[in-house]
Amino acid sequence: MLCLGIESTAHTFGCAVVDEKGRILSDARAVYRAPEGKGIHPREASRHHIEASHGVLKEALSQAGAGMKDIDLVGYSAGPGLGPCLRVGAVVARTVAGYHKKPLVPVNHALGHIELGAALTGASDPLVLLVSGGHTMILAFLEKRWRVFGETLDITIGQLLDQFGRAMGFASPCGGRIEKLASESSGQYLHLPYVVKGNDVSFSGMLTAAVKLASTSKMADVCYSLQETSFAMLAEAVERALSFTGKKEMMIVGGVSANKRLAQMLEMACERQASRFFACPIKYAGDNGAQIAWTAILDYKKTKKAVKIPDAFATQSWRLDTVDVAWR
Amino acid sequence: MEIAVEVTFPSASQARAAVKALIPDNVNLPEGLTLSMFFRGKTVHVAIGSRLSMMATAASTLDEILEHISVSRQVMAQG
Amino acid sequence: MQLLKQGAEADIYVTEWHGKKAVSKVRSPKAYRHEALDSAVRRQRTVHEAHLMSAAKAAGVSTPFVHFVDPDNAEILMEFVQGKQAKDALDVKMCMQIGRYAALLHGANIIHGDLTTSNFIVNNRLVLLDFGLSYYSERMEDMAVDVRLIKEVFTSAHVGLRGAFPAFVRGYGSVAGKKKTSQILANVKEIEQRGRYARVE
Repeated sequence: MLCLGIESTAHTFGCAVVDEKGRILSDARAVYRAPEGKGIHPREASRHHIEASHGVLKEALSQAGAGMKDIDLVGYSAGPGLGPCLRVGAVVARTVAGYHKKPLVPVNHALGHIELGAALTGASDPLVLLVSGGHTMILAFLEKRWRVFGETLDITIGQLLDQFGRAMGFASPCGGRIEKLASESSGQYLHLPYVVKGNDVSFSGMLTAAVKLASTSKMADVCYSLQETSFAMLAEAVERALSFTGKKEMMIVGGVSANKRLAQMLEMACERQASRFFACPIKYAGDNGAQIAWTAILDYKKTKKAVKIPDAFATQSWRLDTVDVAWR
Repeated sequence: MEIAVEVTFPSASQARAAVKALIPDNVNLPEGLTLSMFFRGKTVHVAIGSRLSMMATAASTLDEILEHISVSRQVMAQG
Repeated sequence: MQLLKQGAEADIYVTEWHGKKAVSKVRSPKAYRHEALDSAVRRQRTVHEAHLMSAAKAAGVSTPFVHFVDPDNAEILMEFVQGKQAKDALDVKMCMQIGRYAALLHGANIIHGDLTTSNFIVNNRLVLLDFGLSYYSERMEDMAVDVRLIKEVFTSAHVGLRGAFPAFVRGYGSVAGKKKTSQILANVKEIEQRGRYARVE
């Protein structure tokens, strides 16, 4: 069984072909870059996806050495995400599924991150930290669904890094630049608000404080302190959730998981709780079509359920903890 | 007032697939806008009706629909 | 000293205080936190915790008795409370009592900060532990964060127990009154909508 997965929730338009053993036969992407100092504008990003979509689809098929006739299933990212972006992916998916008569499966984007991460790392029942521009959530699987054990009370970690970076005039996404600057710091720690409430975190106060600090301190030290403080909060929240749930595995997924310092801190937190640490390989940590294709395969193999084209919606605020997971 | 657009596809089956692909995103239109979208033969017909005060909304809705039609067409052209 | 529990926040030891069984709560350094940040966090939480435990007691909530506090070593020595964690013995009646406790704390402007079922010990009474993340606030929104956390716990770890959160709300309402309770619940809803999927803008 070959599945074509289509991802289009935010910056990335991606298509990939995955087989039922979880082999990623192709992974094509085009990423929208906002102008320096600017955030993502949903309509601008969707125009980028419009331009890129058929080229990315073509590349995914040719990389996989497959034609439309070889595709058995189509999965698409149906939310949560930015409306205009989601709709581009949905139109591509409905067109392919309708015109070529393939079963169509809507996939929750966050679930896609988790399932591909689990397949690639071998984690079987992990506590999950999902960190990206759109999410900061601590999740564990319990009674058919991924339940939220902790999350941000205001902005996400991705937004903290991006909004700080943009205020400094960096190009989005800013995480990589901040990580590099932080590594150039002498290790001078500047105090920033550290807010952990239970398993939840809050970053908005830190954002304001860090921007203010940047006008009087060395940029490298501010970046360093921003990372040290925000990541330590995440590590603490994860450690608390591990202690509470008793999970023996922990996995990090999502775009921000590419940060080495965050992974290092989480690994130390896991060690304290005697849990094994897994990180989704960096190549697949960010948004991609393979996560959608693989999750669609898992779903379709177990339930044999496809969605009819008129009912194949895109939902901006589709919450992960409302999705029944049949295959776990 | 009404804006109407016609787009011709290489075949009737493609026109049909494009209309089917676009309809789910256009079921909940803002108050004051009406939309009809159907195909006849190889041609897709789109008509948006709106109050004068909502012309800008109507134009941006149509803009997105045209983009989606072009995406759908290009995707099918790949065979 | 015998290690009772290695927690995420602190290590709990069983020890003695003038011949009586006692608990020592020590916040050991966390290797992943920068040293300057780590010692500031540990010291501050220790002092706060001891103070807020007494304040909560004064508000009518059962908490362990504090024997002494050592900020430099981030240690609190307190009474040993025998019993089970509410997490392992939860029933609807207990949820209601948890609601009453939360309302009593909030009435004294104390935000617990970690209101989970593993922080309650049950014997003939219900004893609330771990004020390590507690603080003073008069803001409805902060109280709502407490309520939202216990709701999250009820709907995740205790998803099998029906009526847990409604019972909590009844208990809360019996102390705080209808008006304040519904205001807080409205705040809870708002926070829930904010956090789940923050728009990338």
